[in-house]
Amino acid sequence: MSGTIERIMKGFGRNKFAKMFGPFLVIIGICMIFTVTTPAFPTAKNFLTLGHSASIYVILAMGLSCVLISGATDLSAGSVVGLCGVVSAIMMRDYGLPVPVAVVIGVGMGVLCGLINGLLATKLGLVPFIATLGTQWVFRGLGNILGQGSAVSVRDSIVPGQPEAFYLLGGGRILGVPVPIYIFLVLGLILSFVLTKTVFGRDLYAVGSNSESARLSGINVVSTQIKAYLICDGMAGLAGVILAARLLSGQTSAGVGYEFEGIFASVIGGVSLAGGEGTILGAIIGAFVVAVLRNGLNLNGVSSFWQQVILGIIIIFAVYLDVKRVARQNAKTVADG
Amino acid sequence: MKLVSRTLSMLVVLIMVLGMVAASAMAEAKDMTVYYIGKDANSSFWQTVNAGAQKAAEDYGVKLESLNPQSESEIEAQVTMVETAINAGAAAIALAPLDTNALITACQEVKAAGIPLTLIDSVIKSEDYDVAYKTDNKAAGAASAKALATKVGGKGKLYVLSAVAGSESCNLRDQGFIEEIKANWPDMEVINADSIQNCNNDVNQAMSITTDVLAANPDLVGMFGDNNYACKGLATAVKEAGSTVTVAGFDSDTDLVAMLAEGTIFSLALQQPYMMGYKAVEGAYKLASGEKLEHGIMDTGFTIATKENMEEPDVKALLG
Repeated sequence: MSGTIERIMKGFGRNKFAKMFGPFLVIIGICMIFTVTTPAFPTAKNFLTLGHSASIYVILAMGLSCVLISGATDLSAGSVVGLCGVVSAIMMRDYGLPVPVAVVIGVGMGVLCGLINGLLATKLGLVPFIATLGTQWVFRGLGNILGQGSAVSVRDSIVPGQPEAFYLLGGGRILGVPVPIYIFLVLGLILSFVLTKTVFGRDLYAVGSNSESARLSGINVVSTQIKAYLICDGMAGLAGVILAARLLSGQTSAGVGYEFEGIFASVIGGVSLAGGEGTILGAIIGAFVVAVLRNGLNLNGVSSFWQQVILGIIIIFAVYLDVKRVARQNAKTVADG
Repeated sequence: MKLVSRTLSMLVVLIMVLGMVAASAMAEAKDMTVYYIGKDANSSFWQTVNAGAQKAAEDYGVKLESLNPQSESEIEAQVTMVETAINAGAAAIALAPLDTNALITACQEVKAAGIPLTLIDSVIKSEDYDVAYKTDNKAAGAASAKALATKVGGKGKLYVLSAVAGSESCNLRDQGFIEEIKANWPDMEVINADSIQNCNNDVNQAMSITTDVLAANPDLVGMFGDNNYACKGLATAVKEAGSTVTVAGFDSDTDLVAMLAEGTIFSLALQQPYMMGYKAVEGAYKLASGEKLEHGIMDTGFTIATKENMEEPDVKALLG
């Protein structure tokens, strides 16, 4: 059985270069086109604002990748973004808690959501797609109840200086670079390390490839998948808090549909919807493919409607490539077996 | 003694009779259920409309059932809500239609069932309603354009960011804004007049689009966001970019008022959401009690708030 895992890991290593190279080429190609069409595109300022806008999606995509690699999915991540933003804003506005405490509570709320998702998807044995569709509604509803259906403005906080301090997390700059960019870079490094160098990371790929053989080889499938959800919704919670910080207000409607943005970014970056495949770097690149495309189309004044069509086609193409790859791999496994 | 007891018993009887009459009268009024169907459960604007509707229901002693879609894109859900109201035997319906076309059939069904129908905020592309209570959105858009153009000295390029595709209210605001510039400001131009972007009612998307637009058009002098989500994202991005672009917005909430006060936002077009809700339920009640109201659109009015007038009592009340 450990042979199976070894083979998977080896195959993963061999394909890694080609898989990373594809999305990289795509992003370079898109950049070249926009550089020709728009003088405003290839400027340092534009890349910084682009990275700033993309950071929410990057953080979401990194978390979602973990769940996707484990062979599950999380449709509640967008609602977690909204809920956690509202929770951290309420902690400051209504309870006057210091910014760091409110941020930790906001992210902690996300981790709690992840625990609920994880338990539903493993212990109760619900299909992750359905379980998290349910919690998508539950979490969105809770956010609306807490925020009483409207924006929770940190500007109303009684503690002086608090809005300014909170804003640093979402819109502050260090050496001219927006803080959320540092956050996703650091988290990306940590998660990459966890996925490639730790036992948990190895278990994650094994569970996603074939949970039955993973279980038989002594891996605790339930705890591995629950941990993936904890990471995913913790990251979604952080994304929500960062967004709230940038706006100085927790929007109950924040993050609607963002789970799909995150899933699409992951898939474009080579994370397989079938599980067991993908990297954190891939998720980051995937999120940037979408962000660069949006940015360039906006700079060129392409209307929202055409942007929808273009992004939709790209997503279909990316999923098609994923399906082909999985089919090829299955054929190979059968031939090997 | 006898006199006292007789008077007392008469009094008791009188009170009982009065009580019964009052109770039956109240029951009659309470039996009348008016259905209010809003646009978005999660927007402070629509909560204010709802509050106005509640007040009218209390004032006229009717029962009010409030139904609200979760977002402005849930058109199907709203159609179902109209059907629910018909089937539940609504005495009258006050509806804020999410789409000018998609709600026509539902409104025809309401009229076919003989139920009086008032509209709030938007109309439909047919005459199957009694009275519509709404802001003259085109005029409000034009007034925003005029205020903005005057502020920047009548010269330069402008950009319009819409909240959501297909919303009649938002389209009219944009049209009003663009037409005013075209008609009366020869040295000004709305650069995206032919391809309006929308942010899908998402502040974060509004922010990204604005950042990109500012980068591509460094010579922009003014921007217009046609509802609270669009102009909140717009203003936040303008402030972050350190841009001098003048921002005109629509509607109000805590964040927008703060940005108006600090000067990030130059103007906000304020509607009368409370009035809309109140008038629509009042109209629905009157129609249901047999009163005749003239078919057509009733303008509920608007105000342009700026830093200069935001402390005036009537403006302050609308800013909330």
